[in-house]
Amino acid sequence: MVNYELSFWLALPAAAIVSGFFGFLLGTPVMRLKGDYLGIVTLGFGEIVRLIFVNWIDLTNGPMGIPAIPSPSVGGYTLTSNSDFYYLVLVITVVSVFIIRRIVQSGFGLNLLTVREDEIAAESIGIRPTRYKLLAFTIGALFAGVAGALFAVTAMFVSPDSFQYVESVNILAMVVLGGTGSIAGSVLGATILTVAPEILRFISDYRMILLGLVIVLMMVYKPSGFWGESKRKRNFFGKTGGYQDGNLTAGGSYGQVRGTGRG
Amino acid sequence: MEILRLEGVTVKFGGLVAVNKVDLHMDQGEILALIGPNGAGKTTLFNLLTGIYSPTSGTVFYKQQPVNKLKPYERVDLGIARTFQNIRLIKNMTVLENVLVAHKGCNSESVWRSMFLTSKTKQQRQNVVADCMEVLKIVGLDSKIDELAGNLPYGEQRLLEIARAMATKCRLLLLDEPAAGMNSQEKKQLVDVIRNLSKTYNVEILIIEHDIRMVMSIADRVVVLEHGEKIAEGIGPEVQNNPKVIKAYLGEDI
Repeated sequence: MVNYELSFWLALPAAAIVSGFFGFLLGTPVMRLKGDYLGIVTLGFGEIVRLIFVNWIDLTNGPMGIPAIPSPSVGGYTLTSNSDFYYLVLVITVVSVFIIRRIVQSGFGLNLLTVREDEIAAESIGIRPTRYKLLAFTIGALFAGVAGALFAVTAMFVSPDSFQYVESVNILAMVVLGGTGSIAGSVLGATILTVAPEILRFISDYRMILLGLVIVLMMVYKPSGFWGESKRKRNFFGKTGGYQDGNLTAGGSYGQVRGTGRG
Repeated sequence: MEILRLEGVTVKFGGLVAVNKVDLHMDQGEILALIGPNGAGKTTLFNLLTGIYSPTSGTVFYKQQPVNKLKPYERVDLGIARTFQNIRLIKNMTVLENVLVAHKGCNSESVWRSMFLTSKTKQQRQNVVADCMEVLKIVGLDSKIDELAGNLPYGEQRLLEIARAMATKCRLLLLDEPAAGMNSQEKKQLVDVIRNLSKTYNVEILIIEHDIRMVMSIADRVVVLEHGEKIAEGIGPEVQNNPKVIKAYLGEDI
Protein backbone atom coordinates (compact mmCIF):
# COMPACT_ATOMS: atom_id res chain seq x y z
CA MET A 1 0.00 0.00 0.00
CA VAL A 2 2.85 2.36 0.84
CA ASN A 3 5.01 1.56 -2.15
CA TYR A 4 2.46 0.79 -4.79
CA GLU A 5 -0.46 2.91 -3.67
CA LEU A 6 -2.61 -0.16 -3.60
CA SER A 7 -6.13 0.25 -2.26
CA PHE A 8 -6.78 -1.26 1.17
CA TRP A 9 -9.57 -3.31 -0.31
CA LEU A 10 -7.07 -5.02 -2.58
CA ALA A 11 -4.36 -5.24 0.06
CA LEU A 12 -6.70 -7.03 2.48
CA PRO A 13 -7.37 -10.10 0.33
CA ALA A 14 -3.75 -10.01 -0.84
CA ALA A 15 -2.61 -10.23 2.79
CA ALA A 16 -5.00 -13.10 3.37
CA ILE A 17 -3.79 -15.00 0.32
CA VAL A 18 -0.09 -14.47 1.03
CA SER A 19 -0.54 -15.57 4.65
CA GLY A 20 -2.64 -18.53 3.61
CA PHE A 21 0.05 -19.51 1.12
CA PHE A 22 2.76 -19.38 3.76
CA GLY A 23 0.54 -21.29 6.13
CA PHE A 24 0.23 -23.95 3.46
CA LEU A 25 3.98 -23.98 2.81
CA LEU A 26 4.81 -24.25 6.49
CA GLY A 27 2.05 -26.76 7.07
CA THR A 28 3.20 -29.21 4.42
CA PRO A 29 6.32 -30.47 6.24
CA VAL A 30 5.02 -29.70 9.73
CA MET A 31 1.94 -31.94 9.49
CA ARG A 32 4.11 -34.88 10.40
CA LEU A 33 4.46 -33.45 13.87
CA LYS A 34 1.98 -33.74 16.68
CA GLY A 35 0.93 -31.83 19.75
CA ASP A 36 3.63 -29.84 21.54
CA TYR A 37 6.15 -30.23 18.75
CA LEU A 38 3.78 -28.69 16.24
CA GLY A 39 3.31 -25.75 18.59
CA ILE A 40 7.05 -25.27 19.00
CA VAL A 41 7.57 -25.21 15.25
CA THR A 42 4.87 -22.59 14.69
CA LEU A 43 6.27 -20.39 17.46
CA GLY A 44 9.74 -20.87 16.00
CA PHE A 45 8.49 -19.90 12.58
CA GLY A 46 7.04 -16.71 14.06
CA GLU A 47 10.47 -15.81 15.42
CA ILE A 48 12.13 -16.58 12.08
CA VAL A 49 9.70 -14.29 10.29
CA ARG A 50 10.34 -11.51 12.80
CA LEU A 51 14.12 -11.83 12.35
CA ILE A 52 13.74 -11.74 8.58
CA PHE A 53 11.69 -8.56 8.92
CA VAL A 54 14.39 -7.02 11.07
CA ASN A 55 17.17 -7.85 8.63
CA TRP A 56 15.55 -7.57 5.21
CA ILE A 57 15.89 -3.83 5.19
CA ASP A 58 15.14 -3.33 1.48
CA LEU A 59 11.66 -4.69 1.91
CA THR A 60 10.69 -3.89 5.46
CA ASN A 61 12.89 -0.96 6.37
CA GLY A 62 14.27 -3.15 9.14
CA PRO A 63 13.76 -2.20 12.77
CA MET A 64 12.61 1.27 11.72
CA GLY A 65 9.38 -0.23 10.49
CA ILE A 66 7.06 0.99 7.77
CA PRO A 67 5.60 4.36 8.70
CA ALA A 68 2.70 6.35 7.30
CA ILE A 69 0.50 3.53 6.09
CA PRO A 70 -2.41 5.29 4.38
CA SER A 71 -5.89 4.86 5.83
CA PRO A 72 -8.51 2.95 3.90
CA SER A 73 -11.37 4.83 2.36
CA VAL A 74 -14.93 3.78 1.75
CA GLY A 75 -16.60 5.42 -1.24
CA GLY A 76 -14.43 8.52 -1.09
CA TYR A 77 -14.62 8.87 2.68
CA THR A 78 -11.26 8.27 4.32
CA LEU A 79 -11.36 6.58 7.70
CA THR A 80 -9.65 8.74 10.29
CA SER A 81 -11.15 8.64 13.74
CA ASN A 82 -11.01 5.78 16.19
CA SER A 83 -14.69 5.10 15.77
CA ASP A 84 -14.24 4.85 11.99
CA PHE A 85 -11.74 2.09 12.55
CA TYR A 86 -13.96 0.52 15.15
CA TYR A 87 -16.68 0.06 12.58
CA LEU A 88 -14.22 -1.20 9.98
CA VAL A 89 -12.90 -3.85 12.35
CA LEU A 90 -16.41 -4.68 13.54
CA VAL A 91 -17.70 -5.28 10.03
CA ILE A 92 -14.75 -7.44 9.06
CA THR A 93 -14.98 -9.39 12.32
CA VAL A 94 -18.66 -10.08 11.81
CA VAL A 95 -18.03 -11.21 8.25
CA SER A 96 -15.15 -13.42 9.39
CA VAL A 97 -17.18 -14.99 12.18
CA PHE A 98 -19.98 -15.65 9.72
CA ILE A 99 -17.63 -17.34 7.25
CA ILE A 100 -15.84 -19.39 9.91
CA ARG A 101 -19.18 -20.47 11.33
CA ARG A 102 -20.26 -21.68 7.93
CA ILE A 103 -16.98 -23.54 7.54
CA VAL A 104 -17.20 -25.14 10.98
CA GLN A 105 -20.85 -26.11 10.76
CA SER A 106 -20.44 -28.29 7.72
CA GLY A 107 -19.29 -31.67 6.60
CA PHE A 108 -15.82 -30.18 6.44
CA GLY A 109 -16.13 -29.09 10.07
CA LEU A 110 -17.21 -32.57 11.15
CA ASN A 111 -14.18 -34.00 9.34
CA LEU A 112 -11.90 -31.64 11.25
CA LEU A 113 -13.46 -32.71 14.55
CA THR A 114 -13.02 -36.35 13.67
CA VAL A 115 -9.40 -35.95 12.59
CA ARG A 116 -8.59 -34.08 15.79
CA GLU A 117 -10.18 -36.73 18.00
CA ASP A 118 -9.00 -39.91 16.29
CA GLU A 119 -6.99 -40.12 13.10
CA ILE A 120 -7.27 -43.88 12.79
CA ALA A 121 -11.04 -43.71 13.05
CA ALA A 122 -11.03 -40.89 10.49
CA GLU A 123 -9.05 -42.96 8.02
CA SER A 124 -11.34 -45.92 8.60
CA ILE A 125 -14.28 -43.92 7.26
CA GLY A 126 -12.52 -42.42 4.28
CA ILE A 127 -11.12 -39.15 5.59
CA ARG A 128 -7.53 -38.13 4.78
CA PRO A 129 -6.12 -36.71 8.01
CA THR A 130 -3.16 -34.82 6.51
CA ARG A 131 -5.35 -33.10 3.97
CA TYR A 132 -7.70 -31.72 6.60
CA LYS A 133 -4.92 -30.73 8.97
CA LEU A 134 -3.26 -28.82 6.18
CA LEU A 135 -6.50 -27.11 5.18
CA ALA A 136 -7.16 -26.08 8.78
CA PHE A 137 -3.64 -24.67 8.99
CA THR A 138 -4.08 -22.73 5.76
CA ILE A 139 -7.47 -21.31 6.68
CA GLY A 140 -6.11 -20.24 10.06
CA ALA A 141 -3.19 -18.44 8.40
CA LEU A 142 -5.58 -16.81 5.94
CA PHE A 143 -7.59 -15.16 8.70
CA ALA A 144 -4.39 -14.21 10.50
CA GLY A 145 -3.45 -12.35 7.32
CA VAL A 146 -6.73 -10.44 7.44
CA ALA A 147 -6.03 -9.53 11.07
CA GLY A 148 -2.53 -8.37 10.11
CA ALA A 149 -3.86 -6.10 7.38
CA LEU A 150 -6.36 -4.58 9.81
CA PHE A 151 -3.63 -4.06 12.37
CA ALA A 152 -1.40 -2.28 9.86
CA VAL A 153 -4.00 0.28 8.77
CA THR A 154 -5.26 0.86 12.30
CA ALA A 155 -1.81 1.44 13.79
CA MET A 156 -0.65 3.16 10.56
CA PHE A 157 2.78 1.80 11.35
CA VAL A 158 4.25 -1.68 11.46
CA SER A 159 7.66 -2.75 12.61
CA PRO A 160 9.08 -6.12 13.56
CA ASP A 161 8.52 -5.09 17.17
CA SER A 162 4.79 -5.44 16.61
CA PHE A 163 5.20 -9.17 16.06
CA GLN A 164 7.15 -10.35 19.02
CA TYR A 165 6.90 -13.75 20.59
CA VAL A 166 4.70 -12.27 23.31
CA GLU A 167 2.00 -11.55 20.72
CA SER A 168 1.81 -15.23 19.73
CA VAL A 169 1.51 -16.17 23.38
CA ASN A 170 -1.14 -13.53 23.90
CA ILE A 171 -3.27 -14.81 21.03
CA LEU A 172 -2.89 -18.38 22.24
CA ALA A 173 -3.94 -17.26 25.72
CA MET A 174 -7.07 -15.65 24.28
CA VAL A 175 -8.12 -18.93 22.73
CA VAL A 176 -7.31 -21.00 25.82
CA LEU A 177 -9.09 -18.61 28.16
CA GLY A 178 -12.19 -18.32 25.99
CA GLY A 179 -12.36 -21.97 25.13
CA THR A 180 -10.81 -23.99 22.33
CA GLY A 181 -13.01 -25.29 19.58
CA SER A 182 -15.52 -22.49 19.91
CA ILE A 183 -15.92 -19.25 17.98
CA ALA A 184 -17.81 -17.51 20.77
CA GLY A 185 -15.08 -18.60 23.17
CA SER A 186 -12.35 -17.04 21.04
CA VAL A 187 -14.24 -13.76 20.82
CA LEU A 188 -14.81 -13.81 24.56
CA GLY A 189 -11.17 -14.60 25.29
CA ALA A 190 -9.95 -11.85 22.98
CA THR A 191 -12.29 -9.35 24.62
CA ILE A 192 -11.19 -10.29 28.13
CA LEU A 193 -7.49 -10.20 27.36
CA THR A 194 -7.79 -6.87 25.57
CA VAL A 195 -9.95 -5.16 28.16
CA ALA A 196 -8.39 -6.63 31.31
CA PRO A 197 -4.96 -4.97 31.03
CA GLU A 198 -6.72 -1.61 30.60
CA ILE A 199 -8.90 -2.08 33.66
CA LEU A 200 -5.95 -3.34 35.67
CA ARG A 201 -3.87 -0.33 34.77
CA PHE A 202 -3.85 0.88 38.42
CA ILE A 203 -1.78 -2.13 39.37
CA SER A 204 0.17 -1.90 36.16
CA ASP A 205 3.32 -3.51 37.51
CA TYR A 206 1.54 -6.67 38.55
CA ARG A 207 -1.14 -7.09 35.94
CA MET A 208 0.86 -9.49 33.76
CA ILE A 209 1.53 -11.67 36.80
CA LEU A 210 -2.17 -11.61 37.61
CA LEU A 211 -3.09 -12.60 34.05
CA GLY A 212 -0.52 -15.37 34.12
CA LEU A 213 -2.06 -16.64 37.33
CA VAL A 214 -5.57 -16.55 35.85
CA ILE A 215 -4.44 -18.53 32.82
CA VAL A 216 -2.70 -21.17 34.92
CA LEU A 217 -5.79 -21.48 37.13
CA MET A 218 -7.97 -21.83 34.04
CA MET A 219 -5.74 -24.57 32.69
CA VAL A 220 -5.98 -26.46 35.95
CA TYR A 221 -9.63 -26.00 36.88
CA LYS A 222 -11.45 -25.32 33.63
CA PRO A 223 -9.30 -26.46 30.73
CA SER A 224 -12.26 -26.10 28.36
CA GLY A 225 -12.25 -22.32 28.88
CA PHE A 226 -15.15 -20.00 29.64
CA TRP A 227 -17.11 -20.94 26.55
CA GLY A 228 -15.66 -24.18 25.33
CA GLU A 229 -16.57 -26.73 22.77
CA SER A 230 -19.09 -28.49 24.97
CA LYS A 231 -21.45 -25.62 24.21
CA ARG A 232 -21.16 -26.14 20.49
CA LYS A 233 -24.25 -26.55 18.38
CA ARG A 234 -25.04 -30.20 17.88
CA ASN A 235 -26.41 -31.89 14.82
CA PHE A 236 -25.98 -28.69 12.84
CA PHE A 237 -25.52 -30.58 9.62
CA GLY A 238 -29.17 -31.49 9.47
CA LYS A 239 -30.33 -28.20 10.93
CA THR A 240 -28.46 -26.09 8.41
CA GLY A 241 -29.99 -28.40 5.84
CA GLY A 242 -33.00 -26.27 6.63
CA TYR A 243 -35.73 -28.69 7.59
CA GLN A 244 -38.11 -28.26 10.47
CA ASP A 245 -39.45 -30.82 12.88
CA GLY A 246 -41.72 -33.26 11.17
CA ASN A 247 -41.18 -31.82 7.73
CA LEU A 248 -39.30 -34.73 6.34
CA THR A 249 -41.43 -37.57 7.53
CA ALA A 250 -41.16 -39.72 4.43
CA GLY A 251 -39.39 -42.42 6.41
CA GLY A 252 -41.49 -41.84 9.49
CA SER A 253 -38.64 -41.16 11.84
CA TYR A 254 -37.04 -38.06 10.44
CA GLY A 255 -39.45 -35.93 12.38
CA GLN A 256 -37.46 -36.82 15.44
CA VAL A 257 -34.48 -34.92 14.11
CA ARG A 258 -34.04 -31.95 16.33
CA GLY A 259 -30.95 -30.29 17.66
CA THR A 260 -30.23 -29.75 21.29
CA GLY A 261 -28.01 -26.93 20.11
CA ARG A 262 -27.37 -24.16 22.54
CA GLY A 263 -25.32 -21.78 20.51
CA MET B 1 -18.24 -63.77 -7.46
CA GLU B 2 -15.22 -63.67 -5.22
CA ILE B 3 -15.09 -60.61 -2.97
CA LEU B 4 -11.90 -61.15 -1.09
CA ARG B 5 -8.86 -63.36 -1.55
CA LEU B 6 -5.64 -63.55 0.42
CA GLU B 7 -2.69 -65.36 -1.14
CA GLY B 8 0.16 -66.41 1.13
CA VAL B 9 -0.14 -63.30 3.23
CA THR B 10 2.56 -62.82 5.88
CA VAL B 11 2.96 -59.95 8.34
CA LYS B 12 6.14 -59.68 10.38
CA PHE B 13 6.94 -57.21 13.12
CA GLY B 14 10.70 -57.50 13.42
CA GLY B 15 11.22 -61.16 14.32
CA LEU B 16 7.61 -61.78 15.30
CA VAL B 17 5.48 -63.44 12.66
CA ALA B 18 1.97 -62.20 13.41
CA VAL B 19 0.33 -63.66 10.32
CA ASN B 20 2.00 -66.55 8.53
CA LYS B 21 1.23 -67.47 4.91
CA VAL B 22 -2.51 -67.24 5.25
CA ASP B 23 -4.74 -68.07 2.30
CA LEU B 24 -8.32 -67.00 2.56
CA HIS B 25 -11.24 -66.29 0.30
CA MET B 26 -14.69 -64.86 0.68
CA ASP B 27 -17.59 -65.26 -1.71
CA GLN B 28 -20.47 -62.98 -2.46
CA GLY B 29 -23.10 -62.78 0.26
CA GLU B 30 -21.04 -64.71 2.75
CA ILE B 31 -20.68 -64.23 6.48
CA LEU B 32 -17.25 -65.50 7.41
CA ALA B 33 -16.14 -65.83 11.01
CA LEU B 34 -12.54 -65.59 12.08
CA ILE B 35 -11.81 -67.29 15.39
CA GLY B 36 -8.77 -68.28 17.34
CA PRO B 37 -7.15 -67.92 20.76
CA ASN B 38 -5.84 -64.56 21.95
CA GLY B 39 -2.80 -63.42 20.03
CA ALA B 40 -3.58 -65.62 17.05
CA GLY B 41 -3.28 -62.68 14.64
CA LYS B 42 -6.95 -61.99 13.99
CA THR B 43 -6.84 -58.26 14.56
CA THR B 44 -3.54 -58.03 12.67
CA LEU B 45 -5.31 -59.62 9.75
CA PHE B 46 -8.04 -56.97 10.03
CA ASN B 47 -5.51 -54.17 10.11
CA LEU B 48 -3.98 -55.70 7.04
CA LEU B 49 -7.28 -55.79 5.19
CA THR B 50 -8.08 -52.19 6.05
CA GLY B 51 -4.63 -50.91 5.18
CA ILE B 52 -3.23 -49.99 8.57
CA TYR B 53 -0.46 -52.55 7.96
CA SER B 54 0.79 -53.81 4.66
CA PRO B 55 1.83 -57.43 4.19
CA THR B 56 5.51 -58.38 4.40
CA SER B 57 4.78 -60.81 1.59
CA GLY B 58 1.73 -62.12 -0.21
CA THR B 59 -1.15 -60.31 -1.84
CA VAL B 60 -4.62 -59.19 -0.82
CA PHE B 61 -7.17 -59.12 -3.62
CA TYR B 62 -10.45 -57.28 -3.32
CA LYS B 63 -12.82 -58.04 -6.17
CA GLN B 64 -9.88 -59.57 -8.03
CA GLN B 65 -7.88 -56.37 -7.72
CA PRO B 66 -4.70 -56.24 -5.60
CA VAL B 67 -5.08 -53.66 -2.81
CA ASN B 68 -1.78 -54.14 -0.96
CA LYS B 69 -0.57 -50.61 -1.48
CA LEU B 70 -3.80 -48.72 -0.86
CA LYS B 71 -4.18 -46.44 2.15
CA PRO B 72 -7.06 -47.03 4.58
CA TYR B 73 -9.13 -44.14 3.20
CA GLU B 74 -8.63 -45.40 -0.35
CA ARG B 75 -9.91 -48.82 0.65
CA VAL B 76 -12.99 -47.20 2.13
CA ASP B 77 -13.71 -45.73 -1.30
CA LEU B 78 -13.53 -49.24 -2.74
CA GLY B 79 -16.08 -50.45 -0.21
CA ILE B 80 -14.14 -51.93 2.71
CA ALA B 81 -15.23 -50.67 6.13
CA ARG B 82 -14.61 -51.84 9.66
CA THR B 83 -15.36 -51.51 13.34
CA PHE B 84 -12.76 -51.61 16.07
CA GLN B 85 -12.19 -53.98 18.98
CA ASN B 86 -11.62 -51.00 21.26
CA ILE B 87 -14.45 -48.70 20.24
CA ARG B 88 -13.27 -45.68 18.29
CA LEU B 89 -16.28 -43.42 18.12
CA ILE B 90 -15.90 -39.67 18.41
CA LYS B 91 -17.26 -39.38 21.92
CA ASN B 92 -18.11 -35.69 21.89
CA MET B 93 -20.02 -35.89 18.63
CA THR B 94 -23.66 -36.89 18.56
CA VAL B 95 -24.90 -40.26 17.39
CA LEU B 96 -26.08 -38.75 14.11
CA GLU B 97 -22.87 -36.82 13.54
CA ASN B 98 -20.79 -39.94 14.02
CA VAL B 99 -22.70 -41.57 11.21
CA LEU B 100 -22.86 -38.46 9.01
CA VAL B 101 -19.13 -38.00 9.01
CA ALA B 102 -18.71 -41.43 7.47
CA HIS B 103 -21.07 -40.60 4.60
CA LYS B 104 -19.38 -39.52 1.39
CA GLY B 105 -21.92 -36.77 0.87
CA CYS B 106 -20.90 -35.24 4.18
CA ASN B 107 -17.18 -35.88 4.48
CA SER B 108 -16.37 -34.85 0.94
CA GLU B 109 -18.19 -31.55 1.21
CA SER B 110 -15.76 -28.82 0.17
CA VAL B 111 -14.94 -25.65 2.07
CA TRP B 112 -16.38 -23.55 -0.75
CA ARG B 113 -19.66 -25.35 -0.77
CA SER B 114 -20.05 -25.02 2.97
CA MET B 115 -19.14 -21.32 2.83
CA PHE B 116 -21.73 -20.39 0.26
CA LEU B 117 -24.36 -22.89 1.41
CA THR B 118 -26.63 -22.75 -1.60
CA SER B 119 -30.07 -24.27 -1.56
CA LYS B 120 -28.62 -27.11 -3.60
CA THR B 121 -26.13 -27.85 -0.83
CA LYS B 122 -28.94 -27.70 1.71
CA GLN B 123 -30.92 -30.17 -0.34
CA GLN B 124 -27.92 -32.48 -0.54
CA ARG B 125 -27.48 -32.27 3.22
CA GLN B 126 -31.09 -33.27 3.74
CA ASN B 127 -30.57 -36.29 1.54
CA VAL B 128 -27.43 -37.26 3.44
CA VAL B 129 -29.23 -36.95 6.78
CA ALA B 130 -32.12 -39.04 5.46
CA ASP B 131 -29.63 -41.68 4.29
CA CYS B 132 -27.93 -41.79 7.65
CA MET B 133 -31.22 -41.96 9.51
CA GLU B 134 -32.00 -45.06 7.55
CA VAL B 135 -28.72 -46.66 8.58
CA LEU B 136 -29.38 -45.73 12.19
CA LYS B 137 -32.77 -47.36 11.96
CA ILE B 138 -31.17 -50.66 10.98
CA VAL B 139 -29.25 -50.75 14.24
CA GLY B 140 -32.15 -49.28 16.20
CA LEU B 141 -30.49 -46.03 17.24
CA ASP B 142 -32.68 -43.66 15.23
CA SER B 143 -34.38 -42.35 18.36
CA LYS B 144 -31.12 -41.36 20.04
CA ILE B 145 -29.55 -39.16 17.40
CA ASP B 146 -29.06 -36.14 19.66
CA GLU B 147 -27.14 -37.99 22.32
CA LEU B 148 -23.39 -37.77 22.51
CA ALA B 149 -21.83 -41.03 21.40
CA GLY B 150 -19.77 -41.18 24.58
CA ASN B 151 -22.93 -41.24 26.70
CA LEU B 152 -24.41 -44.34 25.07
CA PRO B 153 -24.24 -47.67 26.86
CA TYR B 154 -21.50 -49.96 25.68
CA GLY B 155 -23.64 -52.22 23.52
CA GLU B 156 -25.18 -49.31 21.68
CA GLN B 157 -21.76 -47.81 21.04
CA ARG B 158 -20.84 -51.03 19.25
CA LEU B 159 -24.01 -50.83 17.19
CA LEU B 160 -23.26 -47.21 16.37
CA GLU B 161 -19.83 -48.21 15.10
CA ILE B 162 -21.53 -50.67 12.78
CA ALA B 163 -23.88 -47.92 11.58
CA ARG B 164 -20.91 -45.65 10.97
CA ALA B 165 -19.17 -48.29 8.91
CA MET B 166 -22.38 -48.90 6.94
CA ALA B 167 -22.71 -45.20 6.17
CA THR B 168 -19.57 -45.45 4.04
CA LYS B 169 -21.74 -47.58 1.70
CA CYS B 170 -19.36 -50.45 2.16
CA ARG B 171 -19.57 -53.77 0.40
CA LEU B 172 -17.31 -55.68 2.76
CA LEU B 173 -17.84 -55.09 6.46
CA LEU B 174 -15.21 -56.16 8.98
CA LEU B 175 -16.47 -56.52 12.55
CA ASP B 176 -13.81 -56.86 15.23
CA GLU B 177 -15.40 -58.54 18.25
CA PRO B 178 -18.72 -56.71 17.95
CA ALA B 179 -20.30 -58.63 20.83
CA ALA B 180 -17.53 -58.03 23.35
CA GLY B 181 -19.01 -56.71 26.57
CA MET B 182 -22.59 -57.23 25.47
CA ASN B 183 -25.23 -58.99 27.54
CA SER B 184 -27.29 -61.80 26.03
CA GLN B 185 -30.16 -59.48 25.14
CA GLU B 186 -27.82 -57.15 23.26
CA LYS B 187 -26.14 -60.09 21.57
CA LYS B 188 -29.47 -61.27 20.27
CA GLN B 189 -30.13 -57.83 18.81
CA LEU B 190 -26.66 -57.78 17.28
CA VAL B 191 -27.21 -61.12 15.58
CA ASP B 192 -30.43 -59.77 14.07
CA VAL B 193 -28.65 -56.67 12.83
CA ILE B 194 -25.85 -58.68 11.25
CA ARG B 195 -28.29 -61.06 9.54
CA ASN B 196 -30.29 -58.12 8.29
CA LEU B 197 -27.22 -56.41 6.88
CA SER B 198 -26.20 -59.55 5.09
CA LYS B 199 -29.64 -60.38 3.68
CA THR B 200 -31.18 -56.98 2.99
CA TYR B 201 -28.16 -54.86 2.21
CA ASN B 202 -26.02 -57.46 0.45
CA VAL B 203 -22.99 -56.79 2.57
CA GLU B 204 -20.30 -59.43 2.97
CA ILE B 205 -19.32 -59.70 6.59
CA LEU B 206 -16.06 -60.87 8.09
CA ILE B 207 -16.43 -61.17 11.83
CA ILE B 208 -13.98 -61.82 14.64
CA GLU B 209 -15.82 -63.24 17.62
CA HIS B 210 -15.11 -65.29 20.69
CA ASP B 211 -18.68 -66.28 21.47
CA ILE B 212 -18.75 -69.67 19.76
CA ARG B 213 -22.51 -70.05 20.02
CA MET B 214 -22.98 -66.77 18.23
CA VAL B 215 -20.39 -67.63 15.60
CA MET B 216 -22.06 -70.95 14.86
CA SER B 217 -25.47 -69.33 14.55
CA ILE B 218 -24.57 -66.65 12.04
CA ALA B 219 -21.45 -67.67 10.15
CA ASP B 220 -21.66 -69.48 6.84
CA ARG B 221 -18.07 -70.55 7.22
CA VAL B 222 -15.45 -70.41 9.96
CA VAL B 223 -11.71 -69.89 9.70
CA VAL B 224 -9.49 -70.69 12.67
CA LEU B 225 -6.17 -68.97 13.25
CA GLU B 226 -3.48 -69.95 15.70
CA HIS B 227 -0.04 -68.36 16.01
CA GLY B 228 -0.72 -66.50 12.79
CA GLU B 229 -1.44 -69.65 10.82
CA LYS B 230 -4.70 -70.93 9.45
CA ILE B 231 -5.26 -74.29 11.14
CA ALA B 232 -8.79 -75.05 10.03
CA GLU B 233 -11.57 -73.86 7.78
CA GLY B 234 -15.08 -75.02 7.07
CA ILE B 235 -18.69 -74.96 8.21
CA GLY B 236 -19.45 -74.83 11.91
CA PRO B 237 -19.63 -78.44 13.23
CA GLU B 238 -16.75 -79.51 11.00
CA VAL B 239 -14.49 -76.97 12.62
CA GLN B 240 -15.80 -77.63 16.11
CA ASN B 241 -14.80 -81.28 15.89
CA ASN B 242 -11.47 -80.65 14.23
CA PRO B 243 -8.75 -82.05 16.55
CA LYS B 244 -6.36 -79.21 15.70
CA VAL B 245 -8.93 -76.66 16.80
CA ILE B 246 -9.66 -78.48 20.02
CA LYS B 247 -5.96 -78.66 20.68
CA ALA B 248 -5.51 -74.94 20.03
CA TYR B 249 -8.21 -74.04 22.52
CA LEU B 250 -7.93 -76.75 25.14
CA GLY B 251 -4.44 -78.15 24.79
CA GLU B 252 -3.43 -81.78 24.18
CA ASP B 253 -4.44 -84.93 25.97
CA ILE B 254 -1.92 -86.05 28.51
